[in-house]
Amino acid sequence: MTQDSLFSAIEILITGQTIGWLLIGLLVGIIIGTIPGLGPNLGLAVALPLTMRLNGPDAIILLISIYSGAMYGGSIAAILINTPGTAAAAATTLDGYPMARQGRAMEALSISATASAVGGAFSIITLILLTPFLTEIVLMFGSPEYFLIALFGIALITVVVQESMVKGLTAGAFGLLLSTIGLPVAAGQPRYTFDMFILYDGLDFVAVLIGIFAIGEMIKLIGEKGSISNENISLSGSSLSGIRKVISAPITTIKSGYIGMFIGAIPGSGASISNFISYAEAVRSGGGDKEYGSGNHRGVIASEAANNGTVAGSLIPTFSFGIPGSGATAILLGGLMMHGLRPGPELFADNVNITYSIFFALLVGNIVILLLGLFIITRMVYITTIDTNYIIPIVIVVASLGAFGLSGNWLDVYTVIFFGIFGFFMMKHNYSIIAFVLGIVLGPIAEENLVRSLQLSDGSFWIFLNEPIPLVLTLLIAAVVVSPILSVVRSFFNGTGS
Amino acid sequence: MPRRRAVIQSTGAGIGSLLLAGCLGGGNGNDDFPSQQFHAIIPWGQGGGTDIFTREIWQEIADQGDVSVGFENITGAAGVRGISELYSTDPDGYTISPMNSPSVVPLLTQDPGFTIDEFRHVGAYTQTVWVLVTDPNLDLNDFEEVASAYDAGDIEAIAGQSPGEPNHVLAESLRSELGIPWESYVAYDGSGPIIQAVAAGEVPAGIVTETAAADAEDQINVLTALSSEGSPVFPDLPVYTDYGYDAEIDFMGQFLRSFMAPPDTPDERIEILNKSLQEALESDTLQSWADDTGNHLEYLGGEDEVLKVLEENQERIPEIIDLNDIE
Repeated sequence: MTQDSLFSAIEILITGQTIGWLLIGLLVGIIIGTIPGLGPNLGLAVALPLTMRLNGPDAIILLISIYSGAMYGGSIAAILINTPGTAAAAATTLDGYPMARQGRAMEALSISATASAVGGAFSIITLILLTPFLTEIVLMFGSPEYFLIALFGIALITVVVQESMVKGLTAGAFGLLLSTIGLPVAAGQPRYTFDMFILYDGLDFVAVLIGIFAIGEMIKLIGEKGSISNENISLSGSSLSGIRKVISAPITTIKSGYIGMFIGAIPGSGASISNFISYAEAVRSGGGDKEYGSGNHRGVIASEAANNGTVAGSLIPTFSFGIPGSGATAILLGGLMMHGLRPGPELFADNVNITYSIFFALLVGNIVILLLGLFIITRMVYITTIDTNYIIPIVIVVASLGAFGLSGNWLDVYTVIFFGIFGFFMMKHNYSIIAFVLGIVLGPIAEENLVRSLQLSDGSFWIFLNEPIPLVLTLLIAAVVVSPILSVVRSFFNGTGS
Repeated sequence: MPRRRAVIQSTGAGIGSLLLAGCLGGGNGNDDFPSQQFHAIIPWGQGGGTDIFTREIWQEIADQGDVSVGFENITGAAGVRGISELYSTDPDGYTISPMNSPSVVPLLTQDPGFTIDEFRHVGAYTQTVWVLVTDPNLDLNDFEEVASAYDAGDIEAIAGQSPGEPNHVLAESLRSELGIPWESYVAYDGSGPIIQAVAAGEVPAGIVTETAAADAEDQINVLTALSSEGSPVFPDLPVYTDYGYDAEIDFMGQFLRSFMAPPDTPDERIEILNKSLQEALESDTLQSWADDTGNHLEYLGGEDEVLKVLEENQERIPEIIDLNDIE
């Protein structure tokens, strides 16, 4: 049965125009992903009605290729101009952009393409192997587990903060506080909306990320002369050196791909979260390597392998229960339903060949991303040599336009401007941007699932300890929180602490 | 001198980008109705049920009128942002929005400065029925057994969406109108997550749409339709009145999906739109799409019928839930 389905899936993929739609989808996705603020949601939304005339598999493969292409495309502007094309590539800026400033943009772009392709491919192969068990896997995770995973991400703040812990925790807490604006799922009372219904849904964290990274950096560049890559540094590095860097970090690459897949499978999260968690884990496992944040290639690998891994993960709840993990998968779900492909058991029984064909399309898509990334996209490094007097106004206009495009809400444009200024001062005074982002993106997931868990347990916290998965997650959180303290104590007793 | 050059460079690049951005705008025209592009403001997100219905139906209406249609999702504030946008649009018959009857709740609680009966209503195209689903591992085989289990305290929680959403109003109706004494209401973010929670045994029962339940029939027990008229998706499913309940909760157990136009849209244009809607719903294109995708499309009445349902919702919902709690 499975073997027949696999062959049937390959047949769907290689017959007719399907491969053509896959390539078109990837190209559109990469272009849309590159432009700040546009991202996969807008690309999918525009493409959705256009798929009406296509057959089901072609339509879904086109849509999913846009999604996958955008995940990779987001890294291009993130590396070249510190402006994440998508929220999924925000963590890529942390090391990718410093690499570009050091004249290593080509290497960073090639690392991004290779890590995206490898992380994406590993997660898709795993997804194909897990297909018969997906429903059971989804049912193993409920509200307590989702809360603990979000809390684990927040706890990673203690690991990623490399300067002042007080400043890091302050930034994280402020991010959490901002995430409480709007109407929470669990209660009917909106908070901090000041009777303005543009605030009813809270701040769009994609706009916050665009502001902090893109506008914040542009404000900083205003005070500098010349181009993004420092003028006394010539462009160096090659596509080959990028591939070598990824091959030399197999554990970071594969682990990041799986982190992306795992986070992607959690409803309400997505690549905007997974790239930061994966980055934080890379920092943690790197033993607090001070090079992170100043051009460490592992930072780019962690973020990029994770965001493409997220694509496969996000399909798990979407296909098995019709639960979209993110805005992009919500539109993808709409595409499935528009073409009579209903999520649930049918996609893994009668229509399993279509499901497999979608997974294979993603796999082929990752190979295409690798080729395009290495041989075409790396030519864009010359953007970093253009005078910032041209770059700055273009980025500000495109970022503002992209913010407005998020939901046609002027609040998002104001958010971008405010957080641009705010981000500039955060960076200037060494407040951890990652801590802030972890707080603002994980806050709603943590709160919603905490409230629900406590409703289910009549207020008892025992719900976070009484089953094996919650227990393990709780112990992991404890270990993450305690480890920096232990490290300080150890240093003190060794006489090396300060 | 270099500074002046830098200012000119920056200004030039900025103006160039703005001009490119400006190219995204559109034109206008006027002739016999309909002779221009329709503009559908969808107050909910892309890919959702309302979004898909609107795109399919208005594409067909536009095709039949030999004009085009543009879709714009203006989301936020539980649909109120998009509805407000429609309210302030020119009443020329070219701009429409979908309306779902439970959306009267956010209009009541947020008080945007207008009421739903000020709009012109084109007609209704389908209705969706809510169903009660339970965890298959529990030995609950019909509505009566669920009621007894809540009564005996064997089960306590019931799942739905955020307070003020239709399945929350329905859960409250089950308690206040039918006397089913559930203890705690657990809110999830949509029918999919509710089904997952019920299938995993996280909550014993939940209220979801019939279409969502149909996708997960193998993982949950679909027990009862919460509309006395039954569920088109599950024609053989018992309805709550089969168990001797007299109280009527149909106003919320089934929700009406319709289209509306800004206030003061002329009668003749509403009539033309209504006729176009009827023709589109009967077209082979839409009926075969409905068959292929498992959706149900049927003309269910014009302005009078839609207003009757919306006004009943406006009247009865505040009797069931305290709107001050969800303001």
